[in-house]
Amino acid sequence: MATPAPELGDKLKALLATKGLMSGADLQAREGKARARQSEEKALAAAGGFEVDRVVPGILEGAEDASFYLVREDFPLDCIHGDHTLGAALATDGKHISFSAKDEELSDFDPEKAVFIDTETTGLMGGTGTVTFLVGVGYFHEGHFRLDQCFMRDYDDEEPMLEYLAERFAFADTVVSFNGKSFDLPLLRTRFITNRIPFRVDGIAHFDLVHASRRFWKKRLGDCSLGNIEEQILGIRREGDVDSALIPEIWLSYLHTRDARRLESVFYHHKMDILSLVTLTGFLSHSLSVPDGKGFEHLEDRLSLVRLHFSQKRYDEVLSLAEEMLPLLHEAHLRRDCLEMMGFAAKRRSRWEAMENYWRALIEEFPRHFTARAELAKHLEHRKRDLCEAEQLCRETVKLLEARVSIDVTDSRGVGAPSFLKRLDRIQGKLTRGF
Amino acid sequence: MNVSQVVDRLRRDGDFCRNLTEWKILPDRPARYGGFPEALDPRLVEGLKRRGISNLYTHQTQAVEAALGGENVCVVTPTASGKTLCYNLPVLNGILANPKARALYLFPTKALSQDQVHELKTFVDEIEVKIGTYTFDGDKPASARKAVRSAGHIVVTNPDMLHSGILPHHTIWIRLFENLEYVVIDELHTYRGVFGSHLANVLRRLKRICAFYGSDPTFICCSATIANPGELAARVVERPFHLVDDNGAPSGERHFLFYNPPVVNAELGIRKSSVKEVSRLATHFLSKGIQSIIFARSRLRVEILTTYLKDAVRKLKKDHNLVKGYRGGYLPTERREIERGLRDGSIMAVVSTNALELGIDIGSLDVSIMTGYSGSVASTWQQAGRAGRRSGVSLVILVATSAPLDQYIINHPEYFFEQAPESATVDPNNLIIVTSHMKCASFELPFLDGESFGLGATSTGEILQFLADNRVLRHVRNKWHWSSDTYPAEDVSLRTAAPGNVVILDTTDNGRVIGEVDFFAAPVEVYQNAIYIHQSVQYTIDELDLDDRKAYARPVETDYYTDAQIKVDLKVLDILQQDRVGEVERQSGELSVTWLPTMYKKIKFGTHENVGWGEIHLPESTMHTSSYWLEFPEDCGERFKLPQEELGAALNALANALRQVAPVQVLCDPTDIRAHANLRSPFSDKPSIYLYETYPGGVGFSDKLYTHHERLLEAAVSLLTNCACKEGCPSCIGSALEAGANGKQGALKLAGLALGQSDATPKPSTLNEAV
Repeated sequence: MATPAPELGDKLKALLATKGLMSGADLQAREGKARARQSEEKALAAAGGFEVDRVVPGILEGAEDASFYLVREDFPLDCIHGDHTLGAALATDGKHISFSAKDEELSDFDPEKAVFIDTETTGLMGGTGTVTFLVGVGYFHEGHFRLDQCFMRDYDDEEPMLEYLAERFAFADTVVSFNGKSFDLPLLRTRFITNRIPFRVDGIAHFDLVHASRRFWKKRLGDCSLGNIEEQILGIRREGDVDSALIPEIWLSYLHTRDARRLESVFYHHKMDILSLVTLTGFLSHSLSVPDGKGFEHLEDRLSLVRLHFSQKRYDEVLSLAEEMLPLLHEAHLRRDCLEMMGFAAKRRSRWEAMENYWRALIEEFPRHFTARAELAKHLEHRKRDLCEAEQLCRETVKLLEARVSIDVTDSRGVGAPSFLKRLDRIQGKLTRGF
Repeated sequence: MNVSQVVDRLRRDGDFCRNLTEWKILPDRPARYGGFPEALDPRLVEGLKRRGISNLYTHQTQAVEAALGGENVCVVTPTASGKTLCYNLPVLNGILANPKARALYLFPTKALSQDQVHELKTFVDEIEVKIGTYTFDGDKPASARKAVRSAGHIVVTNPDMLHSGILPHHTIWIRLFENLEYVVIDELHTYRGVFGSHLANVLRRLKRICAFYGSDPTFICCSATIANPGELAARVVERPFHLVDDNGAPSGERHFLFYNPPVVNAELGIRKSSVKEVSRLATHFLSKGIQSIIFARSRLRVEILTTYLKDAVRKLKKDHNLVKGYRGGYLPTERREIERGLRDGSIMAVVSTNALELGIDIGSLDVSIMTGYSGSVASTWQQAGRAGRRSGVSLVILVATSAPLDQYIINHPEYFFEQAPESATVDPNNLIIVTSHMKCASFELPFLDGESFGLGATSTGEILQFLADNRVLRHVRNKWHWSSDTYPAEDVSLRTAAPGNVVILDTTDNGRVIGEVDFFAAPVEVYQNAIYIHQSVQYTIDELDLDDRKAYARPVETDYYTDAQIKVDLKVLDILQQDRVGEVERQSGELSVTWLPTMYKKIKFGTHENVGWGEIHLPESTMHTSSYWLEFPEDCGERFKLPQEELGAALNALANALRQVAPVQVLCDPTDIRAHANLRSPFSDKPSIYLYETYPGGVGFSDKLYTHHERLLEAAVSLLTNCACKEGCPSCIGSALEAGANGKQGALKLAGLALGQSDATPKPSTLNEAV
């Protein structure tokens, strides 16, 4: 091995300054950014020490030489967050939670044994070098909702912080998060593994609100970010929030300037996120507890509820909810979705007469609904044994299908002319054989 | 017609044989067996027997025994010697003994990984046990990746994926790292120079992660024949190795022909075009229904040859799809299709760059034709190995171009057949490379005070401090933490110095990606108005956007291709070694190189005449790198009675000759080293010749050239003296126009001086005269 020269750093500087390593534009942008950042930091440092304890009140938690900064806040149960109180979440019923999450494990969900988790991190790309510098755990505690915001003043705060969190997790039997399954928990797991602390959370149930939210509101809202759900569903307005894209840089530069003022908005942002998890959980459970789907005011959301029942094979609920809302539905695509689910639900429940009516209704409103036509034809041929009508239906359908080539409608289930021709053939055969 | 008949026919063809400088028959070699090692699980032995393998070749036995004994093994394996068993057996044996055990396979390319997984699966099915084998490369959907992590006993990937996709996420690969028993590195010889230096650092990171999880894997490497496989393995993996190089595999009779295209203009030393000669030979084999592979050195030549051959096939009234081109820059699906076509015989001739030199499974071909010397003995044997597998006659033809190195080799067949193949060089401690990987390593796990990363602890500490000064790391208590919101592996490409390739888009086809070139090559290959050829279709480049890494192209039909010219400025920064040979200083050290593409020439297909030119408008680039250089006495011009201009020409001629022979001395790509001559060096005011590395900081080639100064100059002298031309020609000193009338003689005088011969008329070395 060559002995590196003593001025290794200088040599590196020269090598890395190599223009060929990056395009001129890259280099300039990078240098410009660095200069801007440094002058900003200088200004902050000049303004004098603003350590975190002067910005957000908290305590040092842990041993003398191994501690982290803990911001603890107890909220009364009647504290209003948006349109709801935090305490409303205590009425959450495990049955609704497991239904909305499609996860049996959550049927024993008990809000008093849940931890509400959210993290702020040094990057969104993931990977082992990403640090969770602010971890919040919220839980119901002696008639309050308690929020512990655990903050790293520097990298050496991490280990005591994780030790504390491990203790906190030990009391819980469920985690509640928003997108925690794919973001917060993998990052936390990595932090625990690299610090060689057992990560107990892997073994307990996890209610990830992002999936439940998408099930109910994706169709109507499109954007199912927590921010949008707060605004559209929970009636929450944030004031003094920070753009979450800036958060990593705010903490990284605080490490150098020790000026925590910009962190104030990060603590606020983080607190709001967790409080919203609480009211969102309560609101979801409440909405599901109102009979006849009336907890969902918007018909589109209520139809999403029907869809959720359908996907969990709860066909009786599908039929009773849908029967009631069908007359209220006016938009064509909603009626189509609704009738389709009704048809299949009736089929699964062997309610043939009802099923026949739904398929007929579908065909009447949507003559080019080939799935309905196929289902009805099957029914007429095999169950009702009305070969004449079956034959007529198939003939009509083949004609439509042949015309389709030039006009085109898409039929998502890919029912094509060949299958109807085959059916027609068979029925005609039966007819001539005198069945 | 079969190959032996074709060979007989060639032997009686006087016109053909007249141009041969060598007809070597490598006799068939019977197999030698070593038996199954006792420690091998009987289920594996049974499985092998069912596949018709009733014994192991000697090298397989030795490799398996050593690996089972816990030694790191490096196996030297020529093409088709059954190398995969050398690592599959110990790995499977380990998993059968302990179902938790894991193995990691590294192949230089994705294509090789896929082949390997296919073969492993077949074998695993044979022994009827549950062993999961998965490729993990960029192509896998997220859902499938999870299965690889949990169920994959054997994870097959490439160094790039290990570097950017696995190591930075090691916590989700916990099962792999906790139980890692074997790491297999196939095609070790490809990891030389920059790529090898990177791999060594990726492996430093891998070992660091393994240590964290408490595993200590055994390494098994396979290499083609190079001079120093054991040394290379030890340099790349930084562990001691047991070398196994006693190949027991059989091979069929092989005819190895050296073909020098006839001289058409003796005065100028111009020979018939090698491309045309190859195209004629290949067409001949095609017409006889013999499957061949044709190697060419550049992408451009591959395209030109493909075009010629497709035309020839059409004239034979056959489907032009019998002929395909194959090179880097083609899309993966395109490549897979071609590989399949070669195996099932629907493709009869493939024209390839060295991309097909590696162990991609294309079945056994009858004939291998090389258009020009590949630049190294090792890689020439690899390419030759593409023809003929275990039995039957095969034919290899090396067709020389007029390039100096080719002429040297073609006239010294004994050099090729007797000389040991080159040794591979890596420099894992290239500062840029090691620093890049220390960033990645800190992202993976914080460094501890006193920890060392390949370098000594002190140097490691200095680099950590440098990174902390630049706020990439933060030193808190005894640890160095990653402290940035970026993902460092993303900025480090293992294969080039620059982050990100430039993609070439066809603007007439909705911006379809037609290929890519690496960042540094872009100004030379895809500048505005350049002709870029892909699958024989010509495109002209309308715009090169280096910032966005995009080149915009559209198809055109022209009868020329383009060739860029580059202006270079050098500055010596530091001298690390120096020595005096007679009156000449030889030195090595660090340079700053500035280069600027200035213009391009349009060169006509077929006649290769210059039909025009244009300017290139691109910014200049600067780079720090390593170099080896010679400084001649200030009065040497007067002494040799060479006026300034002619001295300049002589320096250029010698620089060019040295550059031509340099890759033979240090196993590197011709593009890894460039040469430059200065009439008056701005550093010393003396006439100078520089050979410098194209990778920032250099990866050890300069040092090697410095050490082999004498051998290098002798090779250059031999090249010049053995060339039949009078005043220098493209075959020895490059363009005769630029070298002037006395270029060649002047170059010889300078070379003599550099060899310490006072009378300055170098004696031809002991090498034979040209045939």
